[in-house]
Amino acid sequence: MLKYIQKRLLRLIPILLVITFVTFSLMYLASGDPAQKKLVAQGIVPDDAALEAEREEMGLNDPFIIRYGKWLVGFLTGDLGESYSNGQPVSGLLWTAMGKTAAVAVCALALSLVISLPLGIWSAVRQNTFIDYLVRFLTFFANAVPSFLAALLLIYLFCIKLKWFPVLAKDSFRGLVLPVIALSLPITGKFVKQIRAEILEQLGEGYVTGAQARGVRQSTYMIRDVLHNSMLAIITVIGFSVGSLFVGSVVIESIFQWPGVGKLVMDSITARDYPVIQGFVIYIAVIYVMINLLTDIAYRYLDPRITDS
Amino acid sequence: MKNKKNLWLRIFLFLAAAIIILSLFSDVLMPNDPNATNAMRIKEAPSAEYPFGTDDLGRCVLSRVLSGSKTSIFCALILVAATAVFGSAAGMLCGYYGGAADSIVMRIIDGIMAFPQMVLAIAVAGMLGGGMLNAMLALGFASWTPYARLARSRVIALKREEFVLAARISGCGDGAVIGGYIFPNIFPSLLTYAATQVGTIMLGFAGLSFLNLGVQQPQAEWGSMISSARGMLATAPWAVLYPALALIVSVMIFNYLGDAIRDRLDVHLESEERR
Repeated sequence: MLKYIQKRLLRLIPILLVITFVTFSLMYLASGDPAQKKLVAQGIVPDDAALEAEREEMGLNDPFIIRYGKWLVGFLTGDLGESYSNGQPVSGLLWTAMGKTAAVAVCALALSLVISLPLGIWSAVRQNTFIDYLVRFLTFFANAVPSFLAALLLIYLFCIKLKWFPVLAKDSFRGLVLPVIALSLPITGKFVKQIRAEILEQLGEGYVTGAQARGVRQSTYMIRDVLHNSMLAIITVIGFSVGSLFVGSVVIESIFQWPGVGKLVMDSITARDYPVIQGFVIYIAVIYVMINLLTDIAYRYLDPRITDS
Repeated sequence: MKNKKNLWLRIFLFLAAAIIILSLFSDVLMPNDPNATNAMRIKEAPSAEYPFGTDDLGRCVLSRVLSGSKTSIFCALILVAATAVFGSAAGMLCGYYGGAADSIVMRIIDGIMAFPQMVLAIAVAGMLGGGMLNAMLALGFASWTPYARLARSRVIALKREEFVLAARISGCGDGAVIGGYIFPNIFPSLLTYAATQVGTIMLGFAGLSFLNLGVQQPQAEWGSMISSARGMLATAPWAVLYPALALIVSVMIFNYLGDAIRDRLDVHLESEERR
């Protein structure tokens, strides 16, 4: 197991190199003249002398590969440069915002699991009954509703029609409710679909027929065997939902004005604040890769049959 | 069982064809000019003259939903087709020839797939500065990789099969082997993956437009219509609800169609659920 983790961590190195290279190249190609962008973002009308001085100071006169190297060293030491708009370090901005995003994302993930586990199991056990059809339809509906629409529909219903919640999510528990629901809705749809499929597959296995033949109670074999065996698939699904959570956060936070990474990156896109966009992309990619790695490790831990091949 | 599968496939093929045709003929069906503003009649509730009401500039929401259908649906279809062709071609060539080029392309694909698809699309679109074409480029850049991986892995498995070796021995060139023997065998998987992607891409495109990174005003598109009308949820909810409904229904139809095609062709895709 330790050896496997070691091997996987080693294999991360080339992937991280590619990720940083892709991110840096994107910025390099897109940002035009960063010196001008930086000065304009600070509200200065740049003349040639100021531009040249700024370029020299920012190291823009170095060749591409040296700039990439410098940036990579900065990234590894936690220094992602400074925001063009307010001069604050990008990593600090991102870490503060990341905490806010994590609060919403973790709640949304928990809510999705609490809803989708029983629904998925129920609809699988009652396959092809009214309940199953209803759950499947709702799942399909949830899969077709992007989080921004879910958010707007929730605002319409609960803030405007029923007036239960404030529209803007202030740093409060009440303000958290709607963003969490909006973020969890599309993910819940995916979860239910996959949990149902997995449980159905397990129910078709011989050991279930065997348990039924021996007169084992349904609740017993469901919890002890079926759920236990489905854990693998469920963990995988949670791991893969992290990407959707991040994307959802970008949209949800800009709608509810929640001060997380999503809002930060949208504000930065509007302000053409490239270092922040770059930092966001690289952080998300690293987190995503790490979570995929953790998922794989958990997978192997839970199912020792999986070997290197 | 097979008949039932065929029935569902036919139903959703019919519905998908129906909305495609509807969007093709949207110019004729529009009751009003989608871009004509009317300061006297802003935020009017649905009526006989404006069946879906009017928005904050007095534009007919129904006409804009119809006009936007062309953008939303065709951008998604074109994007899926383009990424499928490009990704599959790259994957087949890499898998067939292997070598250094294969390794390099696969490392690039690993790198791109290390990002959540939409996060990458938002970042690329944000850096390119929005606009319909840039949004398509961003989504395309982020979504061609699964086709390449799928095609490559299938080609590597197939090229050692006896019928491929037999074709080679009997004098087929590389092009004839790929086109005549390998491609027909991997086509169902690629088609299935592409079909399940239409709804996803449609949502992604609407999402980019919603974030003002896609289609720009005054051109009508569902995502941007929802985005620009979201401030009037309290005063003119129809301006949000109707484009939203159009988006949800279209995505559901294409998602169902994708699943029906998968069931019919009986293809199981491992990578499909990853994103």
